[in-house]
This record gives sequence, structure tokens and C-alpha cells, in this order.
Amino acid sequence: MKSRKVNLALAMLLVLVLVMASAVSFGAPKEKVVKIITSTGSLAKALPEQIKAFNELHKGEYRIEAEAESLNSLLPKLMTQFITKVPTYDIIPVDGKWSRRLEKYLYPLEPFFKKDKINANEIFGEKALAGRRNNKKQLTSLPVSSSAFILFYRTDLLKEAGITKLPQTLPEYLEAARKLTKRSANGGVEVYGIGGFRAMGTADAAPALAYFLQARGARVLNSKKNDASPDLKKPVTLEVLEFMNTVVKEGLCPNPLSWDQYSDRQAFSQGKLAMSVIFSPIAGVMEDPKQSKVVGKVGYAILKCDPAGSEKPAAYSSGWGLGIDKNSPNKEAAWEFIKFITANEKIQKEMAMSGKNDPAVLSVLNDPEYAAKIKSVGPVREIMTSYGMDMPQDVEQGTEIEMIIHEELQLMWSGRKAPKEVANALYDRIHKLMTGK
Amino acid sequence: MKKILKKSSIYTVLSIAVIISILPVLWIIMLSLKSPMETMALPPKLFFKPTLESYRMLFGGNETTNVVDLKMYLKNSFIVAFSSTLVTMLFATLGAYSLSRFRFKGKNMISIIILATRMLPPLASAIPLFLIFQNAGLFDTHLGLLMAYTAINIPFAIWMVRGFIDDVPVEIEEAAHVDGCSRFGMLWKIIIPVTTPGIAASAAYTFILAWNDFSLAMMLTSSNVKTMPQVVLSFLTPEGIEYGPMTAAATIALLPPIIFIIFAQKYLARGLTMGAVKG
Repeated sequence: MKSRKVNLALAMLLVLVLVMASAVSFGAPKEKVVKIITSTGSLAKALPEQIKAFNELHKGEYRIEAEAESLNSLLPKLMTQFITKVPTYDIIPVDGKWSRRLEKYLYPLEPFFKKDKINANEIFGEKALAGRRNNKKQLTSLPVSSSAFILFYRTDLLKEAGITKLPQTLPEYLEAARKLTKRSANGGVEVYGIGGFRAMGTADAAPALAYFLQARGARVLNSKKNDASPDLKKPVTLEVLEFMNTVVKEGLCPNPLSWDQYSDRQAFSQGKLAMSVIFSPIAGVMEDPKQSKVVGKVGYAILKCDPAGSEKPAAYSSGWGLGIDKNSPNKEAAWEFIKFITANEKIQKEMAMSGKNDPAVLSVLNDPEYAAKIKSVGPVREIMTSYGMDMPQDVEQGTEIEMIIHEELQLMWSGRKAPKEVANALYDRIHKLMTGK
Repeated sequence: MKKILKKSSIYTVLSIAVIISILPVLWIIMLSLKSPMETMALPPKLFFKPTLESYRMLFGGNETTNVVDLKMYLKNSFIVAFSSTLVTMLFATLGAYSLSRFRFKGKNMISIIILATRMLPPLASAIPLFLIFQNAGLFDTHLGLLMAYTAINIPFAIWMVRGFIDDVPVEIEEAAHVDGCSRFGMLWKIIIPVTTPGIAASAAYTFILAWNDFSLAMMLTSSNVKTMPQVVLSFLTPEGIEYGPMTAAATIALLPPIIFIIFAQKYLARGLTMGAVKG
């Protein structure tokens, strides 16, 4: 009888302890865990330090957990989250190409701007934000890095060939490519005059067309991005296509049918290309003696060409931004981190000076200390502030547009279609895709 | 003379076929042993000074690599691949025995349905699985991935093992039954020992499928249960492909299936020639 009473008392004590323990854990404010996913690469390398700093700053309030996923897997993973409306990740990486495709799944940031009195245009520049606005002109992501496709050129080879200033028209580019191409005694090519022409993968061809088209003020899509641009039927597009075709026919560039953007970077760093249009963050690779044979011999500039299109010239650009899943239960916490990592000049400069991230904040782009360290900052700054940028895939039908351009350029470069036919086909197919007519 | 000529031409053709098959693997191993400059070299260098720099990057947590901890990803792959193989073979053996030995209504239909599920690409079921796993708390867990792989691999394993069991004469089991052996006893003492080569062959195939799977692992895991195939692809970045660590990770990922098959080789040779899948 006595032992039963003792057992009962012990059991009640245990229950009391458990209840108190759970009350403590329920009662105490819980740290909100906010999950972010990014692409592997320099941004994933730049974030851990900043996440640690943010978590220290907001200890007990928020905790950021980051994950990096390969570039190819990132969009399928995000789309799974959006379709199922299960917000595995609160903070979403938004590549420039995906901006319009993802905007309906992202929470507009305007309420946060009002609350924290942030003027995004002043911090990042309107050009950098243009592609990140939805139909209601609301921003759905803020840029965390600014990158653009710019002209990389070998200063030593241009000097050797007697080219004193960069080409400014298509005939000048062609002439320069002819002078810069070096052939070996057995007929092979030691150095190609120009690169940037690629059509191995579906994602390679659209930029290849856009570089020169946009430099001339023409576009693939109209200004409202709801139809094919009338520029596709004008001489400006035909001239660009004929230029691209001639370069390939004369062997002034590597065979585009088996060439992609990674091949371009590799070839340039090994001294096999005299000029090419390459992603600006790759400047770091070109100046790294462990990876490049052209250290100190590379110049960087905006790819400029004589304007002839209906719009202003623009660079082809793609940079990362961060947005918030509209189904996220942690929007406030997510915003605090986005604000910390994008709009914070000190953090942006830290990431930029470490060489792991190209800054999105204008003040850092204009910082002389940063400019002294990163040689490609000049053209990137100009693109973000005044020159402007665009891309044809920045619509919901982006993947289909890439496929159309890829197919048509492949047909042209394999000799099965003339440039004129390709220009007409591009307009007709894209017009049908965008309007359904 | 004719015989020698015939033999040498056969061996030549076989050697060429082997070289062609093994060349991509050799290339990957070579790239993993090159320095960053040599991996980018154009034209590619066939002769170079090997270095373990890429391997050091994977295990040392060097700042040039994205990999947090390769040991964790290896562990995840081992746990998921081995456990799903064990569970798959357990259920597949039982299921195959039932389909082979028992007579019941709808047996043929069930057999066809089981095989039909294998025709569904794993990625087609990714979104439903993602939703189920999220709701059941199985997302980004070893158990979740184990269940997914088991579900995907069981149909084919049943078909493979069934073919081997069909080859075992029923009379042996009848004799055992006469001697008082139970059904489970017949399975355990007669069928499994006789069909071990076939089961080993099926287990090897199942292990390879689970080890190499990328699509389901990508959809159903986050940071805790990432597997080796995801790690290999993680070196494809917006800034470029890090060939050195990528090929080093691929080389490491190749080893467990190769070791598994070396150990199971004697069973595989017998198993693959012993039974064919009978439709």
C-alpha cells in the first residue's frame, strides 16, 4: 500500500516536471528559422559569413539556414515548391531570366519599403531594378549581385594586330576578328578572333543573338514584352544574323554547334580567344594565375555597336536577386535578411571586396577601393547606372523563346537556312508564341 | 592460321569496345588528378603531374569549394542505398515467391500492374511524393528517401527475382512439404539458397539505382540528406564548372558500386546467366 502511494507520488511529480518543462519551451519565445536557398557558386560562398553575422545580430529572434543547390536543379526545385504551395524555403533566389516567370509566386516588397523607408531606386539604380518589377510595377525581388555580359578582350593581341580602339560597328568587329584570328601552319586555329557565338545548349543561343542585337538597340520582344519585336523584320536583325553567319563561315570563332558559355570562358582563359562576350564575374578567373594564362592581359568594356533598332542599346544581363515566397509564414524575418544582405552598403562592400560577389548597391560600385580591386567594375557600373540591360527570356514563355532561337541559329550555322529566312522565322514563331495568332 | 586470325580479330574488337566503354571513366579520373590550370588546358593534356589538390578541396573544406562536408554526403548515400536495397530485396523476395508459387485470382493482372509502375519515370511522381512527404514529416529524412527508393525499385526487383524462382523445380518444394517443411521454411531453406545468385544480381542492380538516383533525391531532400549525385552536380555554378572537385567527387561516388559489384561478382556471373525474366 505504501509503495503504491510512493509510486503514485513519483508519477505525479514526473508529470509535473514534464508539464513545467513543456510550459517553459512553449512559453519562451521561439527563434524563427528562415530558410534560404541559393545557387552554388560565388554567392553561396559569400553568404555563410554574412548569415553568421545576421544570426548573431538577431539571436533569439531569427535564425537563417542556408542551402546551396546546383544551377540546373534550382529552378525545378523552386517550381515544385511554388506548385505545391509548400514553402520549404522562405527566401528565393531570382535570376534575371526568371524574374517575370516567378513574380506571381513572390510577395511584393512595397509594404516593407514603406515600413523601413527604403528607396530602392536610390540604392540600386532604376536600370538594375527594371526587370524585377511585376505588372503592377511592384518589386518582387531585390538584387544581391550585379552582373552583365561584357566584352572581354586581349589588350596584347589587339595591340599586336594594330587595333587601337575597340570596334564600334559590325564591319569593324568582322575586320578585327579577321586580324586577330591566328592560324597555325597546318591550317588549324591557334587563336580565334572572336567568341560569344554558341548554340550547343538551348540556353546558349538566345544570349548569343541578344548580345549584338541589343547593342544595336534592337530587341527580340517588343517594349511591352507581349509580342515579337518589329525589329526582327528590319535590316538591323538581318545585319546581325549575317554578321554572325559570316564569322562562323570564315572560321573566326569556334564551331558554335559544339560550343557553350563554359567553353568560351575556358578558351579565353587559356589564350585561345582574342575577344568574347563573357559573364562579368568571370573577370576574377581571368586574373587568377592558378586558372588563367592571360593574367594582366585582359580588358573589359561594354559591347557597343552602331545603334539601328527601335530602342536604346542595352547589355545582356543576368544577376541574382532575393525574393520572398508569398506562402512563407516568415515574411518579416525573410525581409530582415534580404534587407541586411542587399541594401546594406557595409555588407555589400564586404562581400564585394572578398571577391565572392559583385555588388548590387550603387555606392559600392562607385567605391574607388572596389574599382581598384576589380577591373571589370567600370562597364558593369555603367550598365547598372546609365546604359541599361535587357534579356529576351525574361517572360513566362522564356524557355520556349530560348528553344526557338536555338533551333533557328542551329539551322543557320549548319547551312540549312539563310539569315533572311531565320529572321523571318524568328519573328513568325515568336509572334505566334506570344499572341497565339 | 585461320583460327588465330579469328581469335585475334575478336579480341581486337572486344578491346576496342572495352576502351570505348572505359574511356569516359578514365577521363574523369585523369581530370580529378589535374591542377586547376591543367583541367582548363586547351588542347587537353594527356601527360601531366598528378596532384590530389581536388580531393583535398573536397575533404578539407577549402574556400574554393562549395562542399560543406563530403563525409556527410557519402554517409547519406551509404545509409539510403544500403537500407533501401535490404528492404527492397526483403519485400521483393516475398512478393516474387508469392507470384511464382501461389495461385490466386488476378495474379497476372497484379504482375502486370507491378511492372507497369516501373514504367513511370521517377520524376513524374516527384511532386506528389514531395507533398506527401512534407505533410508526413518525411521530407529531408533518411526514412523518406529510403521509402521512395524502395517503392520505385520493388517492382523491377520482384520481376527479376520471380524469374529466378520460376527456374526452381516445384518438386523440390513438394518433397520438402511432404517432410513437414512450412512455407516459410521452404522459402528460407530451399528457394533463397538456390536463387542466391539471382537475388545478388537483383540486389546489385537495386543498389546501383538507389546510389545513382539524382531526381528524387533533389526533390525530396534539403540540406540534411543530400546524396553524392547532388554533390557532383553542385560544382556546376553560374560562374563556371569546377572540373577538378567535380570529377574528384564523381570518382569517389564511383567507388562504392564498383566495390559492391566486385564482392558480388561470383554471384552476379551465375545470376545474370541463370534466369531470364519470363513474361
